[in-house]
Amino acid sequence: MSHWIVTRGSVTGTSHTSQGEEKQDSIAVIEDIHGNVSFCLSDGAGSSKNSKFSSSITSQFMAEELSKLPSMIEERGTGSWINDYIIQCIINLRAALYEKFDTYDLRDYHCTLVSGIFFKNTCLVAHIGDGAVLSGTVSLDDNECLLNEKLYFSEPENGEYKNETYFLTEPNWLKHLRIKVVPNVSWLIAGTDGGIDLLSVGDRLQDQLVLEILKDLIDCPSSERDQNLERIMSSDKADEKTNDDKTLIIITSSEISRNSNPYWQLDANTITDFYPKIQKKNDAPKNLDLTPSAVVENSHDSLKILKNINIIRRVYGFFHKQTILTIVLLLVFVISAYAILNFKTRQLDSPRNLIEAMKIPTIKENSDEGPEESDAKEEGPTNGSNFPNDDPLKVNAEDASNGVEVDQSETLLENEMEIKNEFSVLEDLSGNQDVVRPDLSQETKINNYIKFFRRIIEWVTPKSTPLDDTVLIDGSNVKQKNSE
Amino acid sequence: MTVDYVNNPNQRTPCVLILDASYSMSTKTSSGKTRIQLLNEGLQEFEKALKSDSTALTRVQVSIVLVGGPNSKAELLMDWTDANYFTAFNLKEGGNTPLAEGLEIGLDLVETSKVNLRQNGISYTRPWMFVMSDGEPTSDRAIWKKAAENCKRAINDKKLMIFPIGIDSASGNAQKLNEISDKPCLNMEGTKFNEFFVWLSDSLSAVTRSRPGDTIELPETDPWRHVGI
Repeated sequence: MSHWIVTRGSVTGTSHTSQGEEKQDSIAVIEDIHGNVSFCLSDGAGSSKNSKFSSSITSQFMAEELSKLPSMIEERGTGSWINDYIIQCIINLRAALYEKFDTYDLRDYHCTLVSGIFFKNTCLVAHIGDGAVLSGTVSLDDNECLLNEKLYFSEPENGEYKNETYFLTEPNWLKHLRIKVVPNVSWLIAGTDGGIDLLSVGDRLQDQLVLEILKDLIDCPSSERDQNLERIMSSDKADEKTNDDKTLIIITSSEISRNSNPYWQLDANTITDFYPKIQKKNDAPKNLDLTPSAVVENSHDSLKILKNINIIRRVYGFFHKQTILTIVLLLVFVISAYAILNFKTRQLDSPRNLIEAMKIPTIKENSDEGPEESDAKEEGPTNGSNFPNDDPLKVNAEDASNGVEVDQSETLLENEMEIKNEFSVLEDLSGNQDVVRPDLSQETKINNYIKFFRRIIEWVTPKSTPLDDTVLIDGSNVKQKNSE
Repeated sequence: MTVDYVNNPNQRTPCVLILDASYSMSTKTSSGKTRIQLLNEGLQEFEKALKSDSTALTRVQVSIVLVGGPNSKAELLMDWTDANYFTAFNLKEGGNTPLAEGLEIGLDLVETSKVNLRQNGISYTRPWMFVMSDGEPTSDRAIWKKAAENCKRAINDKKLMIFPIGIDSASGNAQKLNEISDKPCLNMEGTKFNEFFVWLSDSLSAVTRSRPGDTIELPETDPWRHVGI
């Protein structure tokens, strides 16, 4: 049977000493002749003016009641009756508080409960509220002692907020009672929330800090351990961590104490396994550059998302309420879209755009050749001067205009070029490579096509004033006009 | 955000300030200074008070929402900032008082803060929101009603605590501000900004040292003496 070494410490926090208040933490430990150890820590609520009295009564009462368990277990064996017994102990404690303070309203006596009993190699823990109990099973080699072969943790219970917890003095205390069994225990650390803060960073117990304090105590002579612990808890470093009361009890097996090389394995069975993983990396501190009435750039994604959701929600809400307005806006949008598309379609249908889109090459005009000279050439349709003299394409200028005055010479030249280009296109399309003098019927058809296209072009382009003379398709009179 | 959870993993008390910088803040008070000048001086004092308290310095996070101002809208002026990174700045008055929109931004900020703190494994106490206004809110009536309902619901759900403060005896808006909190609106004379911010810092210091279930004793003459946490 292991012999247990108990180290305890309890100091008043600076938040109380600075205001002349007494400590609200209490601790009680009972070691019987068989080597069993019972302990109880209790932390009084700061809002409860008499909590230091209730925590003192609680720690003493529970340590005594739990110390009776080993003999009862020897008689009856283990079983669920142990749960009943612990619950009954707390009921009896509450009755004692009612009697002591002559009231059934315990709001001024709120306190937590962190308690346990070592029986052979097993520890039973009873826990209500914050504070914590961490215990472990060691693995011993020749000269080495692995402290975290296995770990057990009774975690603090807080509400959503750090400064909210549960008390045995509350009406619904039973909902928050936790009873745990720690088998093959080799060491145990129990503390109120202030004591546990010393071994934590933020709100998380740290493997390294637990190892350090265990090693400090193992290396320390047993007669100095309590003092050593209280010195650690009273240091400036400890006060920087927390200004609350700090209470700790550390119970180690004598087997660990005899071993000179305790160590902690960081790649398995660590305390961090008991905590949820942190999802987000910490933001690095940034310097803030503020200007009057400036909106600070908010780089935080969740606020951006919340803002965007709010904007979407508000827009949706607005249109959800304004049903008629929404319908009217939709109709306006549809009609406008239809009109725009329709207009664009009509523009695309114009021959000029069609020809450009098809990338039909234009034909270079040989300006020195007149219609007479073109008769002598038999080179093919790419010679742009193949228009017959005797059957010029005539375009009535009146047909071509609706009275809008434009630069006549340039317009006529452009029209001439277009018509010639269109004629060559039609020729290419027909596949007739040897046309020099198109026959009359073909010419008529082509003229009609060209007329039709010209009319469409003139319809969508700015109009020109009626021409004085009839414009010949071969451009001869146009040249004459230009020369004038 | 300007926070450092790596080097400072202590618990946080998020505190949102909803500040009215509407045109009416250009009104002169009995001290000869305008309300906005006094508010700016108060912010300077707030910074000093926070930084002189070592507990509050490491445990308070501050965020500021501007209502009104030259942009005449409610907007986030300063995102969550640890107290030790907070530097006071001057506000300019102008525009209307879209207070309802400012309250909604403040409520969103509180939830954002909690999400961020949880993700970083940092514990926190119940956030506070201080609403300081000297004029009738110019928000649409329906929007104001909804914002007031949201504030009351958040208080009932224990999501935060809201403390309304009417500036410079604006009795007209006291009733309006009473609609957003279960605590009575405190009328604050324009000349007491500095003292108010010192009180605020003291109050936050008291919170950061609180025990579970504590009822905090705030400085005397304060009607919120029995603030539940």
